[in-house]
Amino acid sequence: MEKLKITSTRLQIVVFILIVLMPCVAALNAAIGAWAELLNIPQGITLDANRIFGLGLLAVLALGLIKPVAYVIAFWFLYQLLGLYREGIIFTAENVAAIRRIGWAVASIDIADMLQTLITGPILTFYEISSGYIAARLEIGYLIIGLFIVLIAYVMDMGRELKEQDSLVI
Amino acid sequence: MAIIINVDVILAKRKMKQKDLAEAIGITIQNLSVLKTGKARAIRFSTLDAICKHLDCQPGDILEYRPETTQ
Repeated sequence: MEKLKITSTRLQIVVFILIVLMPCVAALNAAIGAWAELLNIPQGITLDANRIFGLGLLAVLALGLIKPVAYVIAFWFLYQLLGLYREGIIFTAENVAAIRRIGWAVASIDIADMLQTLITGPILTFYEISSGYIAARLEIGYLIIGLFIVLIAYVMDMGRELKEQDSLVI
Repeated sequence: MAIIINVDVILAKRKMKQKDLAEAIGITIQNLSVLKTGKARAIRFSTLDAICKHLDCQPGDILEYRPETTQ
């Protein structure tokens, strides 16, 4: 149990660094004007950086933050789960709920990515930042992993219930 | 639950303490309390065997079926 607490504490530090790093990378991309990197623009699409100002700039920043926010949410839930492990809380309903939340958050990363790709084109076109384009991308890697985590959480919950029932067999 | 556990009745008849029975049959006093209060989901044959052996009684003396009355 002591080893779990030490490992959880170390991992919590790593996850916390990632939570801080995610918005920093997005901010850095915005600061140096790496808009294509920030917005995940398909190859061949050029942006007119001179037109990124005012509401257009806000729109670009909001679009650029969609994916980092999804990552931060997933990392935050992971941070909370590690916090539970650090306190020695394992195989409890609270724990299972935390794992389930991570699953949905991980699955939502791909949804956020697909949404970002889908709406970036029309919004950039609307603000005349790029030539008219629309793109769609099918990303299911994180979606599958996330749903698998949700499934594991469900099975864990069943195991927890069985354990609870077993403790009432005298 | 329609099954009533009468361990405390037998314990009183035998003038035996709950703690002594728990120690004799190798379960914790908390688990014996769970059994007595009817919170237990099931009872192992081995536990029942040990209880009957130490209280010198039959399973029927410990377990009783009392139908629940619906209102």
